Amino acid sequence: MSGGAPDPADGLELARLEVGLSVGDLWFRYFSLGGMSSALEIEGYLAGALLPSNQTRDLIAVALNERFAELGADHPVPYVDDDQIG
Amino acid sequence: MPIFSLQVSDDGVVVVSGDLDATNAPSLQDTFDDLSNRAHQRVVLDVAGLTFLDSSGLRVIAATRADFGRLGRSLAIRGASTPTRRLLAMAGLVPLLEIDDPDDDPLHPPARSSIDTLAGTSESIDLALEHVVQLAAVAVASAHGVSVSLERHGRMMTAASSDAAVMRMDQDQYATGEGPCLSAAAEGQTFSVGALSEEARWPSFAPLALEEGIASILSTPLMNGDRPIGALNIYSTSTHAFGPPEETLAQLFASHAARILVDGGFGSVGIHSDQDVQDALFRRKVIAQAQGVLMERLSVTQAEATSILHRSARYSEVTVAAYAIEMVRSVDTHDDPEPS
Repeated sequence: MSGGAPDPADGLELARLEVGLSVGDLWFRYFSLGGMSSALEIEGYLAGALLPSNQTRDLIAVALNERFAELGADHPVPYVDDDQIG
Repeated sequence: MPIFSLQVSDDGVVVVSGDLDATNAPSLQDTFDDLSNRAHQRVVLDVAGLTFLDSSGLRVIAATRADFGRLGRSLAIRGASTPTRRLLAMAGLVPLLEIDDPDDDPLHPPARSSIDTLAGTSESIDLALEHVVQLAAVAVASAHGVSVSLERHGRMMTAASSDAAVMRMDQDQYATGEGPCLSAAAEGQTFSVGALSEEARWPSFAPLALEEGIASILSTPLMNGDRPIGALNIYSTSTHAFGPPEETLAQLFASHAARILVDGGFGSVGIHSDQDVQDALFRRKVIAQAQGVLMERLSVTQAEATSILHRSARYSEVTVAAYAIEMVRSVDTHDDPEPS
C-alpha cells in the first residue's frame, strides 16, 4: 500500500451497520465465500483492532456487497485490489 | 457529579474531564470549530479524565472527524478507558480515529487502535459472566460450583466457572458428548439430576462426575429469544440439592448471563441451521473449484483467480457462488463461458 492510501479496514464496520448484518451473519457469509478467518478475527478487523490482509479485507467487502446487492444497491464497498488489477 | 472541564493547549491537545453529555457537548464542538480555523494538522482529544460519555459527545467526535477529514486533518483520541473505547467501537468510530496512547513509543505511534479494543470487549463479557457464576454460587447455598457454557460455532465451551473442578465437569460432558449441560443447551429445557448415582440418561458422563464427588446437577438453558445458546450449570456434592427455589434462582442467573452474552454479540453465529452450514460448505467447495479452473485455464495465482471470479460475478450481476456454480457446471459439460 502507498503512504496515503486509506486504511483497508476503513468503512467495513459502517457498511455492516448499514446493511444490518450481525458480526456472526457477516462471518457466515464470508465463510461461505471461502474465507478462513474466525468470527472473532472478523470482529477484530471491524473494530480496527486487527489488520486484515488485502485478500481477507476484499472477501469481507464481497460479503457486504452481496448483502447490499440483495437490498438493491450496487457494490458500494470498494475493493483494495481495484487499484492493482485492471 | 463530576464537573465537566475542557482545556485547550497551544499544540492542539484538547483535554476533557468529568461528564461529557448534551449540556456541554456544544462547548466541545465550539472548541473543535475554533481549532479547525487554526493550522493544527492533528488535533488530540484527551479523554483520560472522562467519567461519562453519551451519544451527544460521540456525535461531536464523529462530526469533527468528518470535518477534519475533509480538511485533510486528523483527530486522535488519547487515554481512552476500556468503556470509552467500547463506546467508540460500538459507534463504529474506531476505524476512523487515531487511538493515541501516550505510553506507546512516540517515535512509532500506532496508526490504529491497539488490540485492547477487542480484548477489552471480550474481557468485560468474561468479567460480567464471572460475576454471575460467583453470585450464583453464593446465592444457591447448596451449590458446590457454577459454570456458564456456550455453544460457539457448533462446539460447546465454558465461558466462566467458579472453580477448576466445575470446569472439569463441563469438559467431561463435552468430551463424552453427553450430560445435563449439553442437553439443556440443545433442548432449551432445564435438566435437574437429583441423584447422579441413579442416573441412567448419561452413562458415560455420570461415572466421571461421581468420581469428582458430584452428586446432583442443575442445568438451566441460556435463551436468546426461543433459541438456546448455552447453559448455566450448578453442581453439588449433596444429593437432591436443588428444588423449586434453586430452579427459580438458576433461571434468574441464566437469563442474566444470556442477556450479557446476547448484548455482547454472542449467539448470533449459532443461528445457522445444519442446512445453512451444508449450503455454506457446498458454496465454499464450488468457489474453490471455480478458482482452480481459472488458475489452470489462465495460468494465474489463487489470489488473481479469486479477484477475477469476484469481478466476473459482479459484472454478471450474480453472487460469487452462483457464478462459480454456473462455471463449474459448464466445465463439466465442456461448454465454457469466457470469464469477463
